[in-house]
Amino acid sequence: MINKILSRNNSVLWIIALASIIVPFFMPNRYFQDIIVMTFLWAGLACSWNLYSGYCNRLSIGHAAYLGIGAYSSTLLYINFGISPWIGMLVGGAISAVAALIIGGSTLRLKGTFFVLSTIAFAEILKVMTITSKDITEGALGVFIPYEPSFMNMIWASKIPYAFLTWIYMLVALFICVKMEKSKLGYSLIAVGENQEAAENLGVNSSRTMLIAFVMSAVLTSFGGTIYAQYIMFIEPTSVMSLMNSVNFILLAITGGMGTAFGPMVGSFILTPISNLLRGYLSSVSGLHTFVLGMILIVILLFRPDGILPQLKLFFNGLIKKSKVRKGV
Amino acid sequence: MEQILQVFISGIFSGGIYALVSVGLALIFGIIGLVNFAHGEFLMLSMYFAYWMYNIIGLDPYQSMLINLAIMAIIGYLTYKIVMERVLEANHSIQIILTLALSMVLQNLALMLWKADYRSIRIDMTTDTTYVGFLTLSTPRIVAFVIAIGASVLLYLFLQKTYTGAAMRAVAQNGKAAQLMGINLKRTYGLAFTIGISLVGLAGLLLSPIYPAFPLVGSNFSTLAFIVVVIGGLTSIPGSIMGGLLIGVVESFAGYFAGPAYQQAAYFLLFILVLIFKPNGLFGKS
Amino acid sequence: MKKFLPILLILVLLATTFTGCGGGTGGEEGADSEPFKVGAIYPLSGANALLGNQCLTAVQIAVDMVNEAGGVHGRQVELIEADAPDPTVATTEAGRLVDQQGVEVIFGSLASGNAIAIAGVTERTGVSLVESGGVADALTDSGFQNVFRILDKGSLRGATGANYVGTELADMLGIAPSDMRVAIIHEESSYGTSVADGAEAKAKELGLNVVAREHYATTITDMSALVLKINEAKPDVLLSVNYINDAILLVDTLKQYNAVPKVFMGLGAGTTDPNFAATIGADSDGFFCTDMPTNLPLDVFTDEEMRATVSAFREAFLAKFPDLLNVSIAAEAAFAGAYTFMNEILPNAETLDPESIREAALSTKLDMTTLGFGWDLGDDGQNYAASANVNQWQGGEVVTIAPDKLKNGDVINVPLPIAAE
Repeated sequence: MINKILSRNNSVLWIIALASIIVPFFMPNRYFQDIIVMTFLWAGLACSWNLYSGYCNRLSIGHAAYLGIGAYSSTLLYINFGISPWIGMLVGGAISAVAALIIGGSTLRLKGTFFVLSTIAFAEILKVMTITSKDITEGALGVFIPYEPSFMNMIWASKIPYAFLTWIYMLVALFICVKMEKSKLGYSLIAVGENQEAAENLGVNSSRTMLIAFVMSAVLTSFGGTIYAQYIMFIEPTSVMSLMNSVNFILLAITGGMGTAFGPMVGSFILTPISNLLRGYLSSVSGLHTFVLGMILIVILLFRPDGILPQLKLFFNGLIKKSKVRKGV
Repeated sequence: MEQILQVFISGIFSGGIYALVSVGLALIFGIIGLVNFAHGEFLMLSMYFAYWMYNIIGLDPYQSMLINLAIMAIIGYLTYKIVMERVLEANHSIQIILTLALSMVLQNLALMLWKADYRSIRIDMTTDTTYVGFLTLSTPRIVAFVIAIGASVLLYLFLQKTYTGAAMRAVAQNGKAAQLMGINLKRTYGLAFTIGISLVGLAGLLLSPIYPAFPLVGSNFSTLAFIVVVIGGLTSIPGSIMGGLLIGVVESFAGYFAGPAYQQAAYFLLFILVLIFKPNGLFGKS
Repeated sequence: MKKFLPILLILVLLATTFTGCGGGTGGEEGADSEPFKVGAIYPLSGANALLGNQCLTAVQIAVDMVNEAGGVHGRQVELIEADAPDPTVATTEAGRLVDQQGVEVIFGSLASGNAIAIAGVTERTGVSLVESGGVADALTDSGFQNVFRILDKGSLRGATGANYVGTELADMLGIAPSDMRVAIIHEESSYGTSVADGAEAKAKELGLNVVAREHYATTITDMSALVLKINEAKPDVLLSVNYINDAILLVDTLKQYNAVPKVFMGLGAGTTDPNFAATIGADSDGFFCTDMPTNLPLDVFTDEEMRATVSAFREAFLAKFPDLLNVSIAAEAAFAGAYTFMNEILPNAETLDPESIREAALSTKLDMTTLGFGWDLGDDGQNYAASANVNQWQGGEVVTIAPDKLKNGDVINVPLPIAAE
C-alpha cells in the first residue's frame, strides 16, 4: 500500500521533471533561462551526489573534485587537441572512475566522520595539484574556452540547447537513481546506510556495494562537470573545486530530501533559483545572500531534517486521498 | 642543519596553536559526539573581540584574555543551547551539515557587520624576536605556544583530576551508564561545548597579535582542527596536542622542502595516509 | 499546520529580506529620457571583498560625478551593482545585468577570472566591458571585441619591475646582470601568477639568475618555511607579488629571520597599499613597489579640470573609508576606468550601440587620464599607454621613481639598510 502511494507520488514527480523543460521557453529573458539551466544542472549534480552519499548516509564533502576532473579533462582535451567535449566527457568519466576506485577503495571502509574528512582532503589535494601543475592546467590562471558554437563543441549561442542538455542530464541522473533504488544494489546500499553491521550479517558485501555506488556517483558528477565547463566557458581551480561547490551538493540534496531519488531535484528546483535571485536582490549588503542561505539550511535542519520532499509527498498523498473520497471510493 | 632546526621550531610553534584549536574540538567530539565544522568561526569571533578590545578599550590581547574567555564561553553556551542541543541525537550527517551551515552564517554575519577589512593588532611585541643560540624566534609566537600548550595541559589535568572532569570522561565512555550514575547529561554536554569553544577562542586571542582578523580567517582552522583531531586519535587530548605539533612540523617542512604551495596538501596527504593505515590515529589507543 | 511551520518560517525569512532590502537601485523618476544603465560587477563577498567594495564605491563616485555634469548623451546614468565572488557567479550576474536589467556597459572586475567570465557574456551580447582590475594577459589576448582594459597587463607590470631591477638597480648595486640572483615570490591566484610570469620572463630575457620561484596560498598564516627556503638560495633581489595581508606577513618574517634581501621589488597590490608602510613603519623606507600610478601629487595633472576631478574623487572616496590614509590603487583604477569611459569615450561615440562605442574606444587617444597615463587602445582592447610606475616608499609616502615624466624623487636605500649581510 505504501509502495503504491510512493510510486504514484513518483509518477507525479516524474511528470514534474519531464514537464519542467517547458519552463525555459516561458522565461522573459536569458537571465532567467540561465537560472533554469543552472537549476537543471545542479539537480543532476545533486542527484549524482545523492546516488552514493544520500542512500548510504555517508557524506562526501569533496564531490567538487569530480566536478573538477570532468571539467578539466574535457576542457584540456578540447583546447589542446580539439577533441569534442562529448568525447572528453567520457574520458573525464573514465578518469573519475579510476580516481573514485582508488580513493573509494582506500577510504570507503572508514567510519562516518572519517570518511567525510577524507573526501575533503582529497578535494583539497586535487585542487593544489591543479594549481601547481601549471604547465598542464594553466594553474591559477584558469582555462578559457573560446566561443565557437556548434553541436560537436557543445557550445551554443542560445540558452535553450543548454537547457535541453542539462535537462537530459538531470533526467539521466534521476533515472539511474530510481532504477537503483529498486534494485538489489539499492536495497543493499540503503541497508548499509541504516546499519552496516546488520546488513553484512544479512550477507551484503558492503564494501563492494559502496564502491560501485561511489564510482557511479563520481562518473555522473564528472559528466556534469564537462557540461558545467562548456556552459560557463571558463574554469579555474579555486572556483570549480571549491568547498562551496561541494557544500552545494549537500545543501540541495538535504533541502529536498537525502536518500530519495527526487529529493535533490526538488532541492535544486527550490534553492537554485532562490539563491540566484537572492544574490541579485541582496548584493548591496556583502554577505547577506549567503547568510540567508545558511539560515534557511539551519532552519530546515533543525525542524525538517528529512527535507521538503516527504512534506511534498504527504501533500500529494492528501490530494490523492481527497480525490478518492470525491470519487466515492 | 641549523636551518632544519629552525624550520622544525617554527613548525612546533605553529603546531602549538593548532593543538589548542584542536583540543577544544576533541573535547566536543569526544564527550558530546558532535561534529563541529564551525569550530574555526569561533576563532574568528574571538579575534574580532580581541581587536575591538584593543582598539576601543586599549587592552592588548594578553590583558583582555579573561574578558575574551568570558565572552567566548557565553557565546559557546548560547550556541550549544540554541543550535546544538536539538541535534544531539541526530545522525552525524545532520550535525555535519548543520555546523557547516552555521559556519556559513557566522562568516557572512561577520562580513555583513564588520566588512572584509583586515583588522590587525600591532602591539610592540608583534615584531619582537628572541634569540636562543642560533635560533630566531618570534616572541609573540613563543608566548602563544607556551600559553596554548599550557592551556591544553590544564585541560588534560582537569579531565583527569577533577570530579567534573571524571564525569565528562564517564559521559564520553558511555552516556547512558553515566546518566544512571546520576550525571546530568545535558549539563555535561553544555559544559564540554562551552569549554571547547573557550579554548578555540583562546587560540584566536593568541593569534591576534600575529595575524589579522577577517571574516574568513577561521575556515582554514576548522578543517585543520579535524585533521589534527583524527590524527590524534579523535577523542584523546594528549593525542590532539601531539597531533597539532606534528601537523605544524609537517607543514613547515613541506613548505621548506617542497614549497609553500604544497604546505596544505602535505598535511592533507598525511591525513589520508593515517586514515587508511592507522584510522585510530597515530597517538590514540589502538 | 504545525507541519508547515518551518516552511512558513523560511518564507517569512525570504519575504523580509526581499522587502527589507529592496531591489536594485531605483531609477530616477521624472527624468525625461531613459536612464543609461551601467553595471558594476565586483567581488563584494568572499576573499576579495575588501578591494571589491572599494572598487564599487569608486565606480559609484564616478557615476555620481558624470550625472552631475549632465550624464551620458544627455541621459542620466543608472548604476546597477552585482556581487561576484567567483567566475561562475560572475557569469550569471553578468547575464542578469545584461539580459534582465539591460545594462550597456559593465565596469569590473578586480579578479582576472571574473573578467574573463564576464567577457564571455558581454562578447555575445555586444555589451562593453571596461576592465580596470584584472591583469591577466588572456583577457586581451583572446580576441574579444568589446573588452577595453585601461590598466596594464600582468606581464607588462611584472616586466617593468624586473626591467628596473636588471638595468638601473643592477647598476646601483654594482652587480652584473648575469651575476644577479633574483628570487620571485607570489600569491597563487591568477593575479600573482600573471604578474610573476611577466617578471620571470623579463628577468630571464635580461640574463638575470632566477634562483627561486615560490607561490603560496593567500590564507597562509606562517611564512617561516617560505622565507627560510628562499633564503637558502641567497637572492640579491626579491620580486614579490602579494596582497596587503601577506605582504606585511612576508616583510615581518623576512625581518625576523634576518633574510631581507638587498632590494625588495614589490609588484603591485599589497606592497603599494597605503597600509603597507603604515604597518611596517620606518623599515619600509627603500622598499620598491611597482604598480599603477598611485597617490600622484595633483600637479602631475596639468589640466585644471582633471586635477579638480582627481581631488574631488579622493575626497569623496576617503569620506566613505575614513580608516584609509590614501586611496587604494584598485579603487583609483576603478574610478579611472569608469570615469574616463563615461566622460571621454562615450561622448565621442556617435550612438550608444556596440560598434559605435567600440569605434570611439579605439579611436579616442588621450594624453592623460586620472590614472596618470594616457588612453591608447590597441585592436585587442589593451591600453598600451598604460605603464606601471616604479615607486619607492620613502618616509611613509609613495615616491615615483620611473618613468621620468612622473618622477618626483630619487632612489634611496639601495641596498636596504636592514638587508642581511
